[in-house]
Amino acid sequence: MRPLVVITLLVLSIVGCAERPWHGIVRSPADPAPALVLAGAADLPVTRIRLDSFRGEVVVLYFGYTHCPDVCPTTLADWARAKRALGADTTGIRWIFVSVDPTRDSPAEAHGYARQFDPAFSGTAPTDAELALLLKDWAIAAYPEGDPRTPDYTVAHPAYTFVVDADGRFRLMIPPGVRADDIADDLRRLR
Amino acid sequence: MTSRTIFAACASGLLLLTGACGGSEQGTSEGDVGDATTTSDVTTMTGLSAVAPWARPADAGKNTAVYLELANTRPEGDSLTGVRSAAAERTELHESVMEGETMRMRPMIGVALPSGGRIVFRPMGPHVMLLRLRDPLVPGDTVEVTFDFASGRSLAVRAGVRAP
Repeated sequence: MRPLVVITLLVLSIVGCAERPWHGIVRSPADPAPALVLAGAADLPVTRIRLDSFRGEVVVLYFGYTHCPDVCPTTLADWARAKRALGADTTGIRWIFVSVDPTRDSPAEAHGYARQFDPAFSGTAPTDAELALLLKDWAIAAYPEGDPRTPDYTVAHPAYTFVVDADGRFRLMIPPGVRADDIADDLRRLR
Repeated sequence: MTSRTIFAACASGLLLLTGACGGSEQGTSEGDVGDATTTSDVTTMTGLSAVAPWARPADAGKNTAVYLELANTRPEGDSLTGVRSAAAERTELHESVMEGETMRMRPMIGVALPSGGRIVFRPMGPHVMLLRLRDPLVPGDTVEVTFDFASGRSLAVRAGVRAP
């Protein structure tokens, strides 16, 4: 009996020491996040984004577009649920939706769109030049599909939610479909 | 107590009658367009049924998605050839697909619905795409979409708008 107790304790201690798994994909090494500087709308300061000005806060980022019928609203609705799961105290987390469709989205429009999901969310849209730079810096793809001269083209865009920690390091990529409670769990650990 | 029993009997009779009428109508209306019984939860017509339809809220001029499950309980297979709705400038069947780290959408054309089969339209997957909404959709609204099949049958479905 005694050896069994010892083995059980040993196993429990090993399990206890093992790091709890993350729900998002952990970037290793966690390099400093690329720059993200967007001029925003002159009359709407909240749409002006300088990622390095948010040091000390966890920044949750999504690159989508406001005409997106399925994936973007599903993701932002998951964010809203994750925010609710974090409870009353959601300070220290900034939620930003960045449009990658500057042809149709203005910074104000992207901001209004994000706020439909939670009033604490903010949104913005880059200029064409800012978009080209952010796609390069973040090594991500976003491009129109269909005829961009018509109103009904769609936009291919990054599938993941990107999370930058309070030290400005690009720490996590959260795939679509991760449950809101699990998103909240990851963010709680980073805050 | 007695009046309640009588009321219950009348109500059941009425329900049965309605059901019977619906059945005979279904038998004769095969191939008709938009002549289906619609409810917010299950819509059935000539062996085609739509379960739990819902639509996302969106602003006028923007795009949104309708989700539901379509089932074919007839002995013959069928194929979904298109979808239409008066609520939007255009209505299409699309599928969200992840390619590497990028999310794309591709149109769906001619989706098979074999006998006993079903098509599940769900977030981050196949969906009915309403392009350029004529009016905003807000929670509590309903939006009607009609599915057309290769057999000539159609199924009109009323989806409630709700924030997921």
